[in-house]
Amino acid sequence: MKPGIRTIVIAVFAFALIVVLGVLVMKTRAFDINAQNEINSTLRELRQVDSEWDVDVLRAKVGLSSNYDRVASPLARITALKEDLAAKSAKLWGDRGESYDRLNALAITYGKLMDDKIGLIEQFKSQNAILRNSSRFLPLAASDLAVTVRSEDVLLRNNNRPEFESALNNLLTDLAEFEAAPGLTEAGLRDRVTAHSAALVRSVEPFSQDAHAQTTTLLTHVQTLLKQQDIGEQLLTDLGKVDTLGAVNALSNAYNSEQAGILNDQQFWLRALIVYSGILLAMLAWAAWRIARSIRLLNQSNSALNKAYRDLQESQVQLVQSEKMSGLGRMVAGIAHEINTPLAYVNGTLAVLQDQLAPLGKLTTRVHEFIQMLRSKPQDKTAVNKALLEIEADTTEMAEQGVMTEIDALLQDGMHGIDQISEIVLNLKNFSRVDRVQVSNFSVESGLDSTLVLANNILKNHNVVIHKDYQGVPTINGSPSQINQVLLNLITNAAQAMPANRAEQNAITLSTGMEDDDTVRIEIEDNGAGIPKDVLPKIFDPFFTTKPIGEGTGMGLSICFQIIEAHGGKILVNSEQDVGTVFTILLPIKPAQPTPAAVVSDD
Amino acid sequence: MTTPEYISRWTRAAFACILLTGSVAAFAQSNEPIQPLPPVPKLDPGKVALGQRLFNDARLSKNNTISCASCHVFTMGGSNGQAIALGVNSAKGVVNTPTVFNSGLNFRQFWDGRAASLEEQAAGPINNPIEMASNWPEVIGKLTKDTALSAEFKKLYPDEGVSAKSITDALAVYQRTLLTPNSRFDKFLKGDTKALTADEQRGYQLFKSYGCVACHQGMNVGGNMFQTFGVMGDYFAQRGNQTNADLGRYNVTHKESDKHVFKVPSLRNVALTAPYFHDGSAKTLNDAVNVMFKYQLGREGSAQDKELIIKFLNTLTGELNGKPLQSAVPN
Repeated sequence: MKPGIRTIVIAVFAFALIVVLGVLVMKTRAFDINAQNEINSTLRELRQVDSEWDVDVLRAKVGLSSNYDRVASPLARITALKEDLAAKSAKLWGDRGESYDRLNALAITYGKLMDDKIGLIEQFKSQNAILRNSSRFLPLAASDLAVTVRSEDVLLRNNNRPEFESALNNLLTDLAEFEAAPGLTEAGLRDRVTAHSAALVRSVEPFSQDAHAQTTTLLTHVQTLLKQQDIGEQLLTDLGKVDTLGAVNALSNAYNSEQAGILNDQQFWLRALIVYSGILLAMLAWAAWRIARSIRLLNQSNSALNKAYRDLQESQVQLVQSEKMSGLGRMVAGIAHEINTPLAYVNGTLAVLQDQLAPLGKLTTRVHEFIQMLRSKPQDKTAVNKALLEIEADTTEMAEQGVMTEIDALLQDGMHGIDQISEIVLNLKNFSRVDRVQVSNFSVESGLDSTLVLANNILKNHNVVIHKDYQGVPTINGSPSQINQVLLNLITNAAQAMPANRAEQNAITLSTGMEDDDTVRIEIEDNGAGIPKDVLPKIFDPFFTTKPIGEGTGMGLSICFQIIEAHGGKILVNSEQDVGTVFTILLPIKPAQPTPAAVVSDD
Repeated sequence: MTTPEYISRWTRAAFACILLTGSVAAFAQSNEPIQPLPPVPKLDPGKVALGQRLFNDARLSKNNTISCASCHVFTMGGSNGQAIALGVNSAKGVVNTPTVFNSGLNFRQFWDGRAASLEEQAAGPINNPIEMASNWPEVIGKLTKDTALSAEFKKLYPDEGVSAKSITDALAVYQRTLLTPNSRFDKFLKGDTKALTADEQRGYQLFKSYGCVACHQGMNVGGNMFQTFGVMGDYFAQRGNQTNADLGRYNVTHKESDKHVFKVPSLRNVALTAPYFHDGSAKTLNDAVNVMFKYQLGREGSAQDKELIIKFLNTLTGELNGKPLQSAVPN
């Protein structure tokens, strides 16, 4: 998995975890029980107003209330309570879709029932007013009629009056019965009222227009009474069917059950939230453990790396040393030969010197004997003369042969041979010393010369001619043995790059010069085969070698590179196939780093 | 008063009612069908003042010619003396202007009761093309330009500013203060027997015995129920020229039984609010009483009785802001 995709997957996963957490928190958000209690109290109030309204309607019906103010007043109250309920319900339940829909449906049902009820009560008031008016007026109308008929009867003297009295009496009796208990009256009562009404009309026929008009008025009110009584009964029946209280209770129960449902759900989601939180915590703990373990592993590998780095540094120091010694070892034969030549020379000289010293010993003995003769008493003059002649002969011969001059020359030759040997030995000693980094002012030109001495044998073997082009550069500050090691390595490589038996004269040109005011430049140029292009970039890599196994460690140039870098310098290579190779070393006169300790820190 | 928690049946309510008859203290003050007006309610003085400004503000009408007060004239009993008042550009209305006085006590507003509250009512004339002929965006636009008025709205209705809701609310609040207490009859009801003359007291007795009080009852002497106009006879056939407005509440409910049903008007200050009825057809109280006797009571009454009743009706004139209401038009 690519790191980018991995990051995205982790981000998406983390986001999903947060979303799930958010959903769970939403699901368990507190249900406002206080708000629900307010709704319940509004419902209770609605119920109470409704109940009281029923009572007030009945009061008006039975005549306990003398006006309709009490029956009219709940209208505004009920409207306000309904609006209040709708607002509170929308606020608390509005965002609980299905529950709200169910509650809303019940509320709408209730609203419709309440509208029906309001309409019925309006009709009731109108009907009741008419009914009461007629029933109040009936006895008065009857007595007015009776007064008229009786007075006319006296004037007319006809015999219809008993009939009239009986009809009116029957009518009023039946009406009284009807009014007393309109709902419970027998079926025939209405018919009897009709019959009595007809009888009354017949009985007043002989009387005046006034009596007729009064009868009509009376009977109109009788009909109104009967009709309004029916309407009233119907209205009360209808009103009884409009179960607004039942609807409020249904609504109230629905609120309770929805609330219970929500609290139930909430319990479930709360449990889910707790479990989920637990899982999240576990995941966090696991992640923390993972991180802690990673840190521990990191620390471990870090210290291992540190140790490896220290080991590597140590081994590099050893490697530098052993590379040096191995290079030296490879030159031992040459160096031995180098030493052998002056040694043989010294040996020969000493042998000649020994020969030359024999007559001197004889002469010394003769001189000693002659001196003894001169001092002995008595003197043997003959013997003295003879001895003197012999000494003279010897010294003359020695003087003639120039023995002392020859001895002096021989000694000088011997001394020279010994000087050569001691020079080689000194260089070797300098070279092979395990560096305690000794920084000193150091001439790269004398370094080159000193190196040439050590490399003399290999140069001879490869038949190399050395050209020098020294510009007399100032001394630099650095480690002589390290710089010499680099120079020896480069010169040896250059020599080895040129086979001894080829047509062209093998030549190495050593040149020095100033790169700029602060930098010395050393160039080691050969006219060998050159370094192939594919190899060139790798030559400074550690363990890279083109030599057969056993001949080189592959560390030479790598170490050269590090030494020069440690001196704050640069080593550059420029090679052309079949033309030759130039290694250029640039070294600052005063290195920025006080000690080239990076490569050779300590023993 | 406690009520059983759950009453599902009418019969139970009846039972409760019987129980309640024992404690009739609630209406022990007087069991008279007419009750004195309550005192003027103490409402937010700022809103009352704002409502009063709006009530007299002609900008509520299309061409800034008519305010609420144009038709509800305080010196004419809160109405205007016209059978049918004229609106913007002299458009003729369809019904007689009801009085604004004590209108807060009416159980519904308008002759047909189509508005449940004064707030709802206030929106009616403003938007009615033959009354003020305006609309809310126009009115709100005009009032908002009045920075002083606009600031007043912002102060009293911080959430609303100038809006249909705040305008109707202020108007309604103001109108609820327009009660006319302390009529002579109210003083009589409260025990001052000398407040009414013997004739007037006799008129009240007749008002009750003839059955007028069946509908004109309560503290507003009406205004708390609907009634069919022409219970005992066909008033409209007799009058002729039937209009759509004559259908009354039917126009709201479209129920056959609501044809010719109107809100029973209050008889408070009735002496000042001629002409009478929704059609303004009765020019005098005498005319009105005659029509009522014939079509509502379905009976004859002597001229003397009617005169006494009218004398009683004249005692229903109350006071506004402590000053007796008077008619600018001599009776």
